[in-house]
Order: sequence, then C-alpha cells, then structure tokens
Amino acid sequence: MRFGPKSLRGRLTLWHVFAFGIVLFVYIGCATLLQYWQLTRQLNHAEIQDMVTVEGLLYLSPAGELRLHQEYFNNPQAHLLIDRLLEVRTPDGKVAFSSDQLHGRTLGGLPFQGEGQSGFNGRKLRLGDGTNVYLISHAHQIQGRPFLIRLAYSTGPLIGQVKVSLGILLVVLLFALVAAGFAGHRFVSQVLSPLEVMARRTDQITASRLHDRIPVECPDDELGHMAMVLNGLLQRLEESFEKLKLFTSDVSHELRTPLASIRSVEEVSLQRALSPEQYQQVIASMLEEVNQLTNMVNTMLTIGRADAGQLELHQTVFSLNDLLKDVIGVVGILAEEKEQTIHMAIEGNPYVQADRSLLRLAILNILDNAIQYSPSGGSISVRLKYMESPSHSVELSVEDDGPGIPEQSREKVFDRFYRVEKDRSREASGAGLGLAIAKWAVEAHGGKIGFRPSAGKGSIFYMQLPRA
Amino acid sequence: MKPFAFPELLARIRSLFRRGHPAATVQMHIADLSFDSNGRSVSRAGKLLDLTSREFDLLEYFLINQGSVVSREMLVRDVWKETMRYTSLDNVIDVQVGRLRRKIDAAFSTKLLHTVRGVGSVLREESHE
Repeated sequence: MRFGPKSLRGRLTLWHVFAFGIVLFVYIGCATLLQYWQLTRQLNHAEIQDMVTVEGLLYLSPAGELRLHQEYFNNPQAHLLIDRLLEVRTPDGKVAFSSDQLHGRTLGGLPFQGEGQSGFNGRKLRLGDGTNVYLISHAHQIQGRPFLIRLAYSTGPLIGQVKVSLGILLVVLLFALVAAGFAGHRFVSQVLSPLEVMARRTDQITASRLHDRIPVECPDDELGHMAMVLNGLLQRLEESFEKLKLFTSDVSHELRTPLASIRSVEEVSLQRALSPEQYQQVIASMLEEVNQLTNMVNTMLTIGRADAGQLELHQTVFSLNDLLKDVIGVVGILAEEKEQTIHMAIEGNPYVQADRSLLRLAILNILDNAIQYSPSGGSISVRLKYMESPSHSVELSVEDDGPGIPEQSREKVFDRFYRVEKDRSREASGAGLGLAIAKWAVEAHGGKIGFRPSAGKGSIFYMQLPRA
Repeated sequence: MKPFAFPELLARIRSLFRRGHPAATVQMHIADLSFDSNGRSVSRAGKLLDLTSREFDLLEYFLINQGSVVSREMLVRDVWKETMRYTSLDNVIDVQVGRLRRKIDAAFSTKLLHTVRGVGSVLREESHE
C-alpha cells in the first residue's frame, strides 16, 4: 500500500516536512517544560527570600495578636508579589494571621506532621476557589512562641507566561513547516534531477546503440554508483551481443566452406557426362563434406544444449587414471602415427565425481590438440597431481612442444571457433570448438580450465577438478 | 524414465544381435586370410600376423560384415563403443583402418580391405569386379 502523492519527489517532500515537524514539536515541548521548570525555581527562590523577610517583620502585639510590621514591596520579583498569600498558624492549627489577599481563604487546612521542619521545599496546591498556588512552609518562633508560617504565590502569571511563549513557538512552527516544505521540494528536485537525465538517456539506448553510456557526474555518490552499475550492465550486454554476432558469423562461415565445396563439385560434375565410377567419386567427395558438416552441427547442438542448461550431468565416481588410460588408448594412435611419445607422470589414484563421458570428451579434445600441434617426433607430457590449493582437488595437465600460443591469443583459445592460426585449410584442425567444449565440461563440474606457457616454447593446458 | 528414440532402440537391438554372433563364431575366412577368435590369431597365406587388440576387433567386425561397406558411424558405435562422434575420433578410425590395411594387405598382391571414399571401407575379395 502506498499513501500520498505518486511521485517520489512529493513523497520525499512530505516525509521531510513530517520529520521536520516532529523534531520541532519535540523541541518546543522540551523548551516549554524547561521554561516552566525554571520559572518555578525562580518562584521558589523568591518565596524563600520573601519568607525570610516576612519572618523578620512578624511580631506579637501586647494583646498577644500576631501582626505584620509593614507591606514589603522592594522585592526584585515584585510583579509576582501581587498575588502573595501569607498565613500563620499556631502548632495546634489555629489561624493566627491571614493576609488581606487571602480574602478569608485558607492555605491548605491543618498542618501535617513535620510541616515546615525541613528546609523551604515548595509544593503545589489548589485552593478552595480553584486558584493554583505554589506554597512553602516554615516553622518559626516569634518572641519565644512557635508558629507555622505558610507563604504562597499564585502560579497564574507563571502559567500565562509559559502559554504566551508556547503560542509564539507554535506559530513559528507553522511557518517553519511551510518553509521546510518548499526547501525540501527544491532539495529533492535537485537531488533527483540526475536520475531523470539517466532515465532519459537509458530510454534512448537500443540494441543498435549499446555502445552508448549514461553520463556519470560524481562517481562517488549513490547516483554515480548507480550510473556506473548500469554502465557495467550495458558493457556486459554489449559484450554478449558482440559474442553472439561473432558466433553467428563464425557459424555461417564454417558452414559456408563445406557447402561451397559441395556446390563446386556438383557444378563441375554436371558440366559433362561422366562414367559411373566418376559419379561415384563425385558423390563420395560430397559425402565427405557432408560428414564434416554433420559433425560440426552435432557439436554445435551439444554446445547449444549446454548453454541452454539442457544437458544433464550423469555423475558417477570413477578413477581419473582409468579415464586417462581410456582416452590415451583412443587417441594414442594419432600420436604414434606422428611418432610422438606420450610421457605420463601420475601421482596417486584420484577419484572424481563427474559425468564420465563429458569429462572424457574434454580430456580427449585437449590431448587431441596437443597431438595436432606438436611436431612429428615430438613429445607430450601428461601429468596428474594432487593440488595444495584449492585443497582436495586434482590437476590434470597436458604439455606439448608445439609452437605455443602467442600472448594476445591466450585468453581467446577457449572461445568458440577461435583458432590461433587463421589457416582454415588444415583439415585436421576441426571447427575450433574442442577447447570451448572442454571448458564448458570442466566448469560444469565446478572445475577450472586454463593455459600456461611451458618452460620450452610449447603450451600447457590444465584442468583442475574437485576430488570425490 | 527418459523418453527414447525408437530408431535408436532398434539400432541398439540390432547391434546386440551383431555382437551376439562373434562369440559363437570361432573361425572366419576370406580368401587366404583366416581368423580365429578364440585363439585370437590371424594368419594370411599361412603367415601369422601380429595385430593389436583394437586391430583384431576391427578385423573381426569387417569379417562379420564381409562384402558390405562399413561406415565410420558403425565403427564409432560398434568397435569404439562411443556415444558421440567427433572429428578426432574420425581421424583415429582412419589411422586405425589404414594400419590394419597395411598389416593384412601390404605384403600381398590381392588386396582385401578397400576404401570406399566418403563412406568407409569394405572387406572383400576383388574376384567379382
């Protein structure tokens, strides 16, 4: 549920005003209480002074009546004295003296136990006619006889003063809130204006204009951060679009070459009549190209299914050594044919949990590459060893003594259709998908695949896999 | 249960039948070549040939399919028993078939293992064209 205005600006302004109002209101409350407390203290102070004075002025007449020498007006708090009330009682509670201003009212009935014995502590009292007063009591001896003197000031003027300043503060509050509304609106508008610019720019970016970027004004603030995050997203989008474009053009190219050769064979053979043997030759050579095409399309379908996450992993636990022997049993003959030697350096007997046929394909592709790119009579080293970090994993590496991979190609060798030599005439080099499949297979098992140059000029391809 | 392709099932059954045969076959012949699957020995014109086990399996498969063309596809499935066909395996097969040909044909004037371009190879006596 959302209340209030629809725009973020409106909501923020409203919140601003609301929060500002609460803060000011609390502030005004505190200030008023403080003022009341201070005025009460002043009142108490004045009463204590007044009490001392009054005690000096009280005397007993010869007839035994209690009298006040004279009215006393030079008190600094004179304006508060207007309502000064004075009452004196004998210890048994009889009223011995009552000032004129009391007009016959009493200041709080019979004295309670211990009244006036300790200090001049004040207390609030409500008189019979509803007047609120602040009262102090003091036990005092006049000419040897004990009396209880009560002195009270009406709190009316004090409350009035507090009310006036509270009123002023509330009016100020009203103006402050209006001002806060305007200022908040302006402030929020200013803060949000880059957001609007960003929205407008983002709106203009389409698939064909992915290279556009959102302007970043202050890279350190939140909006700048957001702009950079969006730019990062655009960057990644652009890269994957580029990859897709490249992939499409590569696929087209790879498919075009065999298609073109089929076409030319057909065209040549149809130019004149041929003998059945010659036709057989023609059809056979076309079939070879079709084979090539079929293999490539199959591989691409596998990759496509892998990309779409449709390739299930049928995981089993098996010995990596056995798998390695199996793979070398298959492709070893290609190395033999080129009189290459395969050296094996195997440490322990690590087991892995993986999709055997997928991992097999990965190792096959890497070994096949090593055999292809090593010269005749060269040597290939296959190493299997436990790793220290990440622990509980195993590294399989294949080192060849081929031409190596130039610096600028190292990152791309695992890309689809990427070939270090752009020489497409090499029949053996396949479609450039082998390493891409190997990478996918290894990563699907939570492993890592990579390349590093060997001590000689050859290459080392390694895969690191978690052990079972 | 995973859905399966009916043609694939048929192919698998067929290959089982094919595989079922050689166990019973003890000896096979073509021209002057004799093949003993129990003793795992092959000789031609009385001379014992030294074959690796893969070459032996390959020859056995060719013998069973005597006279008909054996494609790479068939070899991938029945001799190498791979589930997937890929370019390097095609190379492996070509090399392996080439070696077998050298061993059984090189020293003899009558060639038995013939390449059918684009399709595969066939084991037959050249007597009939």
